[in-house]
Amino acid sequence: MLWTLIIEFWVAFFATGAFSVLFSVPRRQWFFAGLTGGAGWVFYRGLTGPSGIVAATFIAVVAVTLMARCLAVVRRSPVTIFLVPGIFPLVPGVGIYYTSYYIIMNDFAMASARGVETIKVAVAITLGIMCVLLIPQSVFMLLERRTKKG
Amino acid sequence: MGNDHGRRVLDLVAMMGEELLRNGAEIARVQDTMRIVGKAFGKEDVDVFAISNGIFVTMHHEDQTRCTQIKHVPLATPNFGRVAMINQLSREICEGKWTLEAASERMKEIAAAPGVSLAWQMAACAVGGGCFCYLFGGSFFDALATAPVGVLLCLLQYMMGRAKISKMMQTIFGSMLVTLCGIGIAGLLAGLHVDSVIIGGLVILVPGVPLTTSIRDFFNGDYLSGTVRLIDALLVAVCMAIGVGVIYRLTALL
Repeated sequence: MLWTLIIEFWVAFFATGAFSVLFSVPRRQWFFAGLTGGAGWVFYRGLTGPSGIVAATFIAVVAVTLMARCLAVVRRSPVTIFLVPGIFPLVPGVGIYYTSYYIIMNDFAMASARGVETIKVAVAITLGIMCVLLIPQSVFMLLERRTKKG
Repeated sequence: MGNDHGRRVLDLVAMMGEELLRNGAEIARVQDTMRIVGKAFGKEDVDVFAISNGIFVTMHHEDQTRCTQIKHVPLATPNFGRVAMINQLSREICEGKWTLEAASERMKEIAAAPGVSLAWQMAACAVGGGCFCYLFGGSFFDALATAPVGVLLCLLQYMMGRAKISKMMQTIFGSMLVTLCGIGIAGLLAGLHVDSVIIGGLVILVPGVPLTTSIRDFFNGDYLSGTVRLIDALLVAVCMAIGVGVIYRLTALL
């Protein structure tokens, strides 16, 4: 299990890195965007078994958003740059695709199952982002002072 | 005299907002940046209303006159490099490091800054497709087989973009290509999983960014913008399914 997680961390790292290239994230932030995505995926995979997809997504998104906000202060960039690529592996884009695919293939049972799961995951992501964005910016600014001194 | 200055501030502010919106920033950031930059150049009273494909901004001048600009901003591919540069610029403007002229010049440079080159895009599509194929349950060899599919898809997208084909048709043709390649590769090489290769290739088309941005807009209370982007994401997903479905039906006939 540990080895799978380690391998998947690096795979998710490169996947997120590749997508941050496609979204024209500045070159010196690629590595950090990748780290965010990798960490999010590890939380997601590690927790899917014990707590189910929705809760796992929620916790992974909280981790990703926390990392993105810290990185945004430390690397002096907008949060979006780390948040969007970092969340990309967790976003149910593939879920919406499957839902519409099953509708077109006339398999309505699978379509509704996939659709409901997609909505739940999307809500979990929203709540996750919300929780972390509620933390005032001043908390993260402590980080900046520390990096300046050090 | 005062109005001339005001007009140029309005031009700069409107341009910054337009570029932020076009390149995938969320609505709250667009509105805040425009207000803050206006304030930094001495315009206390800037009213901004932005939705995901348009901006309305009104500036009140000292002599009781008002200026308004309306910008139509079609939905486009995000470029976070530009968002970062504009963010940096607005931060430095607030610290008083830029004159109005210099900031306007810099803003024009940012708007003209090139995106990622085609070679990098192809490499990113190959790596991204392969990695996601593995993450979604494909084997190592499935992931290897997805990489060339990603490169082909990237080339097709590039050519269709130059031919100015609409985004919906681009998505349908793109997913048709991925499905054809997936079925072809899995047919030629035994032991590969068709579904994994196809989903790996499709990830490149998946509307992940509009979906995330839409969710964030909803959270910020920008329901209209959230809805516009959500519908955009849903339509892209439906187009992907149409492309895949057409090819599956056709191959079933053969």
